[in-house]
Amino acid sequence: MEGYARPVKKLVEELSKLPGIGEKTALRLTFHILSSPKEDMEELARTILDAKESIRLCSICFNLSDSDPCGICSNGHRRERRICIVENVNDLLAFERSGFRGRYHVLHGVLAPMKGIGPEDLRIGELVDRVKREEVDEVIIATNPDTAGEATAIYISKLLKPMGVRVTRIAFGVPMGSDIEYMDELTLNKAIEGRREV
Amino acid sequence: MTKPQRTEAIVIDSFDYGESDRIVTLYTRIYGKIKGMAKGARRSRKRFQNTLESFSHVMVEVKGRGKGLYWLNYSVLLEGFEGIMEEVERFTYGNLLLEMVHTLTGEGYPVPGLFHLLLSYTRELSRTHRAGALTLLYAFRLLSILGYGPHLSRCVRCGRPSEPLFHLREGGLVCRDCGEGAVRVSPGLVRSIKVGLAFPLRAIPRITVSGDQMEEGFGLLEGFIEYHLQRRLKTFRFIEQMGGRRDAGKDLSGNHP
Repeated sequence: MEGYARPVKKLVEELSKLPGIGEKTALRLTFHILSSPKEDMEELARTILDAKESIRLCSICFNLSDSDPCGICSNGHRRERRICIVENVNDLLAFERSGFRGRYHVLHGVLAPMKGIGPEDLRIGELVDRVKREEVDEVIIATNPDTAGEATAIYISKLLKPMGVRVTRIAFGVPMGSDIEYMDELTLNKAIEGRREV
Repeated sequence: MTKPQRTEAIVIDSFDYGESDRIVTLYTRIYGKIKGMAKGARRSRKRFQNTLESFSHVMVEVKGRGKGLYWLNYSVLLEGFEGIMEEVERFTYGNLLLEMVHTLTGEGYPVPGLFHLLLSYTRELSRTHRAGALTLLYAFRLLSILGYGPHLSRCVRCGRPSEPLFHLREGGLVCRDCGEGAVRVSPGLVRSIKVGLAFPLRAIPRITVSGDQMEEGFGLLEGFIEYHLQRRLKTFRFIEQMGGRRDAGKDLSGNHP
């Protein structure tokens, strides 16, 4: 970064801290910012600050929201007795795009022993309290189908099942539009296990 | 390494990098512990699908090194060990052994016997109902392979017959005269660890370890590792959160504190 003015270096450093942005991309963004109209950049800075200050976690489902409870939890037209448990807000948004109309509970992670992330670091205690407090017909566990996601799902199911609530796991198997020839044995086994009548 | 090479490996850990890549830590049969960049792994349906999960036994093709990382061209799943995911206890203790391998080995230095031990452990772990006891015995075996094995015969200080007193700094049992600063351990635990160190790996699942010995054994293991590393392994904190170190499945797989 020799030859660059100090504010430029500082801006590149700050932008490089964002996920997925390396030094070259940060430099490109910096030049874009510097060549843009001042009003546009003031608006960008205001929007970032505004989002940071106004967004909080919904006290019921722990989704990111500018109101508490969030728009989903306060929507009376949704199927309130069905809760879908997801790892993070991105997964919640993916289910929203799919047309799911139940409610959610965002864990904000999964069990990860090597990273020191245990049940107390996730929103699992709040989930148990929620199931005790609300009338819930079904809890759908939609953590990722990987080692940590699966272990988290089993841990949660063992907590909730004794409470008398129906606990289900999203189906696994062959993704739509894929090619069976290229599927691994584990995925095909899961697909056979989860088969259904047509 | 200029040409791509294929090697068997056990996946130790992985994390997402950028939009679609993954950085994976592997313990390979040929190169020991390596870190590799799997470009496009999160989107690839052919080169990496479902093969980069912890504990997986895979065949990988690796190439060169860029910024300290190998490039992973592709990986093929040889054994998936889905049994490990089916019980939280197996998952928890399995992570402890993976973290030990991760922290106690250096990159690019293959340790004779370690790949074989890891493969044997993951196979047994995926079907055991005594994940704690199994892990405890394999963990001491791992320490032994890495040169940190505890001395459990004569006094490690003076060579006289030892007492069941373990000295963390000296790394083994000591006699009563040399016992200052040592912790008392039960003779049964010492016997189980000794058998675990001496017998072939396939015999380890048949060695009995009681609940009390488990508690004591993991305390010893934690203290021993902490002494050598000067820090606590993160999985020990996790085990604490899950309710303890005993081998009763109920403690580690359901009762939320």
